[in-house]
Amino acid sequence: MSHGNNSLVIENLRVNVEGQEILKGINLEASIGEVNAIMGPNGSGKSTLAYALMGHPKYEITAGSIMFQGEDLTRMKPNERAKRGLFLSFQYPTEIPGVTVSNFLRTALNAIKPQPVPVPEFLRLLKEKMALLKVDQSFASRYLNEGFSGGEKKRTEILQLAVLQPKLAILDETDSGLDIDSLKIVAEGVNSLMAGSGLERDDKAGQANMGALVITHYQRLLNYIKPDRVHIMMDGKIVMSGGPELVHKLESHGYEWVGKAVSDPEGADEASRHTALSDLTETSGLDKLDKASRHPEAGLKS
Amino acid sequence: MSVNDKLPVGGSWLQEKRRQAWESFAAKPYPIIRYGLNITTDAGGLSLENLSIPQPKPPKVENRNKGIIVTDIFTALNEYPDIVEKHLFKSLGYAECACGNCIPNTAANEKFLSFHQSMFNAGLLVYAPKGAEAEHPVHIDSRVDGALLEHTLVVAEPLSRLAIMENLHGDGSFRSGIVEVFAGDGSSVNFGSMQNYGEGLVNFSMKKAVVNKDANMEWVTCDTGARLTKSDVSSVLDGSGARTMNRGMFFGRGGQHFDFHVNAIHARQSTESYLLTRGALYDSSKAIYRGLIKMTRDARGAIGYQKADTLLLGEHAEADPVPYLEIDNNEVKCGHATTVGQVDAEKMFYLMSRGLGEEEARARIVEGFFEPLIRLLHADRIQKEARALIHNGIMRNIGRAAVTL
Repeated sequence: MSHGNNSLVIENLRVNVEGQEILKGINLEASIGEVNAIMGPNGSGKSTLAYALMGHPKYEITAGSIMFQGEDLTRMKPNERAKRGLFLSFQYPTEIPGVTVSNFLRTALNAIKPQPVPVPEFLRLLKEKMALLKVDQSFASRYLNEGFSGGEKKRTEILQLAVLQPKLAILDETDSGLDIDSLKIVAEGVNSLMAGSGLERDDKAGQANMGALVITHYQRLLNYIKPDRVHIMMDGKIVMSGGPELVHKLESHGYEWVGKAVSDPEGADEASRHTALSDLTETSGLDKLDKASRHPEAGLKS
Repeated sequence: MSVNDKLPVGGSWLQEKRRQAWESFAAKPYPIIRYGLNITTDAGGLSLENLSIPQPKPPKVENRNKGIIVTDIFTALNEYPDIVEKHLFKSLGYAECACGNCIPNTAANEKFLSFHQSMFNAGLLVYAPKGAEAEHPVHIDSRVDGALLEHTLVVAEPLSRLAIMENLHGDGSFRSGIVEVFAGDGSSVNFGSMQNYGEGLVNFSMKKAVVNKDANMEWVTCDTGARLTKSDVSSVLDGSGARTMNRGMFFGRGGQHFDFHVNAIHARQSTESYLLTRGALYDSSKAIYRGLIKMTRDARGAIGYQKADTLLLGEHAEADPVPYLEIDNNEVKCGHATTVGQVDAEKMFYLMSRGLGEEEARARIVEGFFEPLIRLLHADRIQKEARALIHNGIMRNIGRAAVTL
């Protein structure tokens, strides 16, 4: 199978915000069907990556490319990316006064589908997903995010995700502001979409429905949405990649350890060295390295 | 031209009033009204003296209520002479005004007002006898064809309930419309006005209510048409516990010009006013808003609030909103707010990230801007009409708004 046809491939992505370079050459591959976690301290550029992937006009891509299922999204408008199957769950969802959740979701669904979805079918889908995410039915006629609590906003984001059924969901700090019960409901929702409980896409049998790029500061959410790969961002770069065990290492050693491991691998403590070194070989000198050798697992799954 | 050449019928007392009004009109210059630094309302291009006023077609009226009288104003002069003579012109801020608290008319209004009083050739009397309750809104469909001067007199006797909606459309050069409402003790009057004139017309509109003890007056105006709209909506809260709610919406495009004055006069204690205005301006359209809440010395315990929000969607669109509060009593609550802004880029990104195209995202945001106001309107039909007017306006402007992304 040709490489990248079932994945998001980010190459050497550099992004400026208001003239300042925030992303300094990001390389990442995330397959549909996989959960890729991106962790990193505040200010490392995680949210910038999320916005740049979705095409926010204030986030200027100065170099590199974003490919999705073999198609170049780098210069596409946000709605074109949405049509290709990208979805961003916002860290701070925007309030849209006067536009009801139901009305908006139907407009959005019709915008990304080749054929308009008949109203009864849409209402059935909405009702089902509201039940799945334990969102009260009254939210359908409320104005989008207006007056919602932090937790209600996040749940509504996942409700949108469940209705629109993208191929790749970018979850930007979805755990922040969520109490533990909401967190579980949200995680279950994402997991069930990953497993393919939504309306059938045009995917071939046996293929996964959705991939997720989970951006988070803490491991909390990753206890419920299990990552296949974990990437650590610092200062606008991915400095370390590894398996799920990296989450626990981070939790016990903190981000300072990553900094030490990257700048001085010998000085990092013994227990951490193995992962750190093996990942460093993957992530150092990225520009020169061939993609396939960087992320051997990614891309092979499909 | 002599006034008697043109005057439609009327009793002798009316003839005399018309003659006086004509003299007053002839003596005044056409107003040019300057506001702030930039925006000027200029009526200098009009020549009302030479206006050809065709015989008006009667408006289509739908009144499905028993006990509510709706009749042509000139017919009413003969059939209900007492009611007409007691109320006609009595709210318009002249010396004979009963409340003694009216704010004087501006020079601009005086000119048009005099012309209207001398020349009005169409109109209706809507009369709700004591305790009568209208179950259905009275619907008035009025069409301008060339020029029209219409006068609507609404008299709601104590404890009556009345809802009226007028649809204003058609093409021409000039239209003058005055609505006078007399809301008796404990009555409730809801008056909605949906204006969608052709873009060559000058529209002079004045709406005035005298609201008595414990009565409730609701105004809804939605202006989307006409080249120049000069619109005043005023409520004089002339009895304790009287209340008014005013919801104004406007939607401009091309070179349209709106000049809104919204007033609430608190003449008695424990009165309440809420003046809410929202508008969107495309292209190089312009809107002036002047809101006044006047708390008189007798307005102890009164509450007044006004808010005007404008969305600028055209590169050359301009808005000049100024709210005034005039307070002569310390025991009142009073507040105001105005905003002028553009479509928020973050809202655009949010909607577009869900798949909505740029135009569609903007259209939803503009519709959403009006929707909270529309949702508050009482009658379903008024809601529907307002929504349709706004929606059609937006759809016509797809692709014409300034690019924000």
